Amino acid sequence: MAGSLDKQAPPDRWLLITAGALSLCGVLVNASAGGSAAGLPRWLWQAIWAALGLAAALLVSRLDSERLRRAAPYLYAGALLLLVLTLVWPDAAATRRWITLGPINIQTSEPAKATFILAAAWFLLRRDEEKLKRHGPTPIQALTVVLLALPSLGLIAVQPDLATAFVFVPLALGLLYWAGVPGWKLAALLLIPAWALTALIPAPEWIVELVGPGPAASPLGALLQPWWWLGAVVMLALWLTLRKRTGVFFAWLALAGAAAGVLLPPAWNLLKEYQKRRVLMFLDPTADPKGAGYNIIQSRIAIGSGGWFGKGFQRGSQGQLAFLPERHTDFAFSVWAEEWGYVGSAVMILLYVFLVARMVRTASRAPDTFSSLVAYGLAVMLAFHAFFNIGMCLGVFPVAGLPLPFVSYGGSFMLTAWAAVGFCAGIERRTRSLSL
Amino acid sequence: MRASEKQRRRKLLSQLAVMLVGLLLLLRVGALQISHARQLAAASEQNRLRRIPVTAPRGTIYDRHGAVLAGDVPSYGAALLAPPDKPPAGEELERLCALLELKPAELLENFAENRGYPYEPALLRGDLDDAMLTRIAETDLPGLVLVSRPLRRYPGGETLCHVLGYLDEARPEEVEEGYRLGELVGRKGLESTYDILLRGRPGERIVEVDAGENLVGEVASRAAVPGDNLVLSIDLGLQRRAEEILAETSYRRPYDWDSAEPWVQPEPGLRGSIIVMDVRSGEILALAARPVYDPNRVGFGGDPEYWRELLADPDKPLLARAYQSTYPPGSTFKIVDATAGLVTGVVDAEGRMPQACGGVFVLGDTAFHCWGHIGHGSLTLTEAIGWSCNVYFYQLGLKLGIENIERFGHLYGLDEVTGIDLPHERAGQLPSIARLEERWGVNWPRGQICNNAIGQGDVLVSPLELLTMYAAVANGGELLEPRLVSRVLAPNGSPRSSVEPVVRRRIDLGDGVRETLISGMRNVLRRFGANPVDLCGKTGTSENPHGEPHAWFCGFAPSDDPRVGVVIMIENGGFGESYIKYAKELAAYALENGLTAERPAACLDIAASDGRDGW
Repeated sequence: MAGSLDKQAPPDRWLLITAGALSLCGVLVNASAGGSAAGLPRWLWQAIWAALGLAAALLVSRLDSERLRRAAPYLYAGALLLLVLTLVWPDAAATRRWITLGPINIQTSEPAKATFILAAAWFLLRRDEEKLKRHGPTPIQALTVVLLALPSLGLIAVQPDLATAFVFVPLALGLLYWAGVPGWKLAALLLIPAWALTALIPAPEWIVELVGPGPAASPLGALLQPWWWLGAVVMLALWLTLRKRTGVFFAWLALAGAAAGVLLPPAWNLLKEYQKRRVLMFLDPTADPKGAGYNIIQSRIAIGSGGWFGKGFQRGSQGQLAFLPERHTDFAFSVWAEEWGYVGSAVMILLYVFLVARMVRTASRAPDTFSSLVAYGLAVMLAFHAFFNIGMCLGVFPVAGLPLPFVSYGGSFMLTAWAAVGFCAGIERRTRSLSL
Repeated sequence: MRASEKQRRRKLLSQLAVMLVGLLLLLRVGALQISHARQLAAASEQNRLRRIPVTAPRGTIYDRHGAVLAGDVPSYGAALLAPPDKPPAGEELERLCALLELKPAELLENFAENRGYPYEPALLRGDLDDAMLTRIAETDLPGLVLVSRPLRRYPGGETLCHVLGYLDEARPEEVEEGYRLGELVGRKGLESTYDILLRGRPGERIVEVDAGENLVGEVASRAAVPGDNLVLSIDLGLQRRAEEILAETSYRRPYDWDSAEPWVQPEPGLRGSIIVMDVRSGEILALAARPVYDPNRVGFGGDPEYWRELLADPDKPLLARAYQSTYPPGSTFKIVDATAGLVTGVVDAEGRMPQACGGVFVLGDTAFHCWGHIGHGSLTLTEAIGWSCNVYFYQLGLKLGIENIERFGHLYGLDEVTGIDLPHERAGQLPSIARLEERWGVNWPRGQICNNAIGQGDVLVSPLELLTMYAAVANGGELLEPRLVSRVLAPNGSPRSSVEPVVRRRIDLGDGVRETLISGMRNVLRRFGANPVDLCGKTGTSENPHGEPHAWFCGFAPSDDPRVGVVIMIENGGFGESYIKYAKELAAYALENGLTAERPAACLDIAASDGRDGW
C-alpha cells in the first residue's frame, strides 16, 4: 500500500520549503559568524547538516506510522540508554551533553525529545483509541505521560542542561492538551510550582527573629514559611470558589501543591552549595559570572542597530567584532537581525509561525490518532525552541542555551528538526492520498 | 477522517497562539529595530560599553575569641578600558609604562592577556603601591581605571598555615566551573573547603566610555555580595603554644639511646604535628604541623622565589602533616588490640598471657623483642598497657588474629578519612589477610601479626585519625567528625548557622571496656611524674625506614571525665614519653581556659566588633 501512495501524492512541499528557507538562513548566519570546525568552515558544516537533514526528512516521511507506533517505546528506551551513556561517557569536559564518537559529538538530548513524543503518543493510545478520542486521557494516563518525561528530564538536568530538560514540560503539556485534557486544567497545574516556590522566599526579618531562621534549618520546611501560608490561603479561596465546577481535580491539585511545598525546602537544603548556586544561576541569569546581563545588552544592540534593512551580509559589527557571545548558537538570531534588519527578522519569525501553524494543521488532518499526536508534539517542540530562543535574544526570556531550529550551529538539532518536519510532511502525503 | 468539533477548536486555538506569539515577537523586534534603531545603532557604532568586575570582600576567619586569622586588606590594580584591538601605543604607552613602572613589552603582554572578555578592562598591574596610586589619581590618562583587588592577609604569618591555606588566581578549569578569570580561589586549608561561603558573589559595573575611552557614566551595576565569615574553634593562644612546642622539640633530638656519644648535634629536618581537640564535640582547639610556610608569601601577590623554595624543600612545608601524612602508630596502636581483646572476650582486664615477658618472644625461628630488655614479668591487661609490654601484645595479637585487628582498627576509623573540614585528608591503612598474602604469598609468616599488633608493618595512621580514635575511647564510643569551623556568620555578623557535632559511628565500649582501657592508660602516666591534669594516654615509638623512631603520644584529660584530647607526633623524635610533659601542658591550658565548655561565650561578641580593623 505504501508503494502505491508514493505515486499518488508527494510529501507536503510547503513544510519542506519552509524548513529549507530557515536552513538557508542558518548557513548565512554561520557564514557571517565565521569560525571553523574540524578543518571545514562552520557554514559549510551547517550546509552539510541541512542537506543530510533534508535526506532524513524524506526518509522519515516514508515511515509507516503503525510500525513507528509499535517501535515507539523501544526507541524511547534506547534514547534513555543514550542519556545514561552520556553521563558515564569518558570525556574530560565537566558538562556531559555529548557522546563523542571520533570527530562527531552527538547531543543525546535531541533523540530523547523526539522519542519522548513518540512514546507518550504510543502510551496514550495503548488502551482504547476511541475512548481517548471521546473523553480525552484519564487522570492516570495524564500522570503517566508526565512520569514518562521524568527520566529524560532528570538525566538531562544532571548533565547539567536545565534549559533542555525544561523543554519536556511544554512537550508533555502540549501532548496532553492535544489528547483532550481541558486547557484550563493544564493552566491550573502551574499553580503547583508557583505555590511550592513561595516556600523558598525568605521570610521577613521580624518573623526570623520570632521563630528562628525557619526552613533554612528546619525539617518542617514550608510550614514555617509565611509566604507559603499566604499561598495556602489563596489556594483555599480558589478551591472554595471553584469546587462546584472542578470537582476533585482542584483538591488533588492543592494536595500536590502542598506536598511539593513542604518537601521543597528540605530538598533544597540537601543540595550542596555549588548545586544551589547552579540552580540560582539558572533562575537568575544576571548572576551568571560570565555576564549574561552584558550579553543581553550586546544582543539588543546588535538587533536594534540592524534597523529596517540591516547592515548587510557579513557586515554586522556586533557579530563580526565578537561583542556578541555564542553567536553561532544561542545568539544566532541576533546576528541575523543585525545583518538583515527588521525585514529579515520579520521573514524569519513569519517562517517559524507558518511552519508551526502548518504542522498543527497537519496534526489536525492526520489519518490516525498516533500521527496526529506526534505531529502536534513535534510542532510544540519546534515552536518552543524557536520562540524561546528569539525571546531570549530580545531579552524577554532568561538566557538559556536553547538552540534556534535550523539556524543555530549544530548537527544533532538540525537533523532532529528536519526529521520532525519530515514526519509531518509524510502525514500530509497520506492524508491527501486518502482524500483522493 | 473528520475532525471533531473540539479537535477543530484546539487546532484553531493552537494556531492562534502561535500567531499571537509571533506577533508579539514582531512587535518587540520592531520596537528595537525601528523605534530604538538610531540609539542602538549609535551604541553599536562605537561599542562603548565596558564591564568592570567588582570583587566581593572575602569573609574573615576568626578564632574562637574573635581574633582575626585571615582577612582582606584593600589593594588596587590599574586597568585599561580599551578593547583588545586597540592596544596603547606611542606617547600613551610611554606614559603608562612610566606610571606603572613596567616595560612596554610587559605592559602590552598584560594588556593582551589579563582580561576575562573583550569588553572587560585589561589589568595592567595588580599590586599598586601608595606612590603609584597617588600618581595615577593625579594623571588624566584616558581609559585608565583603578580596580579594587583586596589582598588576603594572615596576621599570624606562619601560625595556623596548615589550617588556613591561601588564595590564588582561578585556574582555567575552575573558570569553566563558574569562577571568573583572575578571581581568587582558596587553595588548601579552610580557604579551600569553605571557598564557596567565603568568596561571596562578585558584582559588576557596566560603564559607558566615549571614543577616547574616558568614562562617561554608569549604565548598570550590580553590587558585590560579601562572603560569610567563619568562626573557628581554634584558640589562638593554645595554637601558638603548640607551634612553639613543635619548634622547640622537632629540631633537637631529645636523647639518643643507642649511640656511643650521649649528645649529638641538633639535626635539622625533624618534623611533626600536634592536635588538641574537644573529645566530646570533635571541635579542634589547636592543629599545628611543622615545618610551616607563610601564606602571606604564597599564591596571589606572593613571592615566586619563596614558592620555588617551598616546592624544592625536602621537608615539604606545604604538607599538612597533622592530617595529610600517615605513619606507623607504634605502641599507640595497642589500644586497638586491647579493645579487640576485651570486646571479643579473648581477654579481660585481669587477663594474663601464657608467656610472661622476659624481654623476648620467640615465634618459630624469629625472636621478637620487648623494649624492656630485662622483661616485664607476668602482667594483666591494664598493667601491660601501662608498661607498653610488647611481649604481652604479641601474644594477644596472635590470639586475636589479623581479622580482629583489622576489624577493630576499622571500627575506630583508622583506615578512613575523619571527614574534618579540611581538603585532601589522607586515610591510614590497616593490616589485612589480603595485604599480607599479596606481600608474602599464601604462607605469610605468622610473625607479621606480632609486628602489626604493636603498630608496625602494614599499619599506618595519621595523627588526626589516632586522636579521633582516642577521643572515641574518651567519650564512650562516639567516633566524631572533627570540626574546625564552629559558626558561620553572615557579612553583617548575624549567625548563619552553627556546626553541630557529627558522630560517624557509635562503638560499643560497654561492659567496662572503656574503663579498662582508661585504667591502662592511667598506668602509663604513673611512670612519668606529676600529673596535675589527670592526663591518661599511650606513648608510641615506631620504627620506620627513615632513621630514628617516630615519637607518638596520644591521650586525654582528665581521665575520669575526659574533655580534651591531645596527640603529639614527632617524626624521628625518639621516645614518645619525651613529649608527655607537653601534652600535660597543652591539656592544662585547654582545661584552665575553659576551651571545652559547652559553648564559648566569647564567640557571641564577634558580631558586635567587626574585627576587620584588628590589625
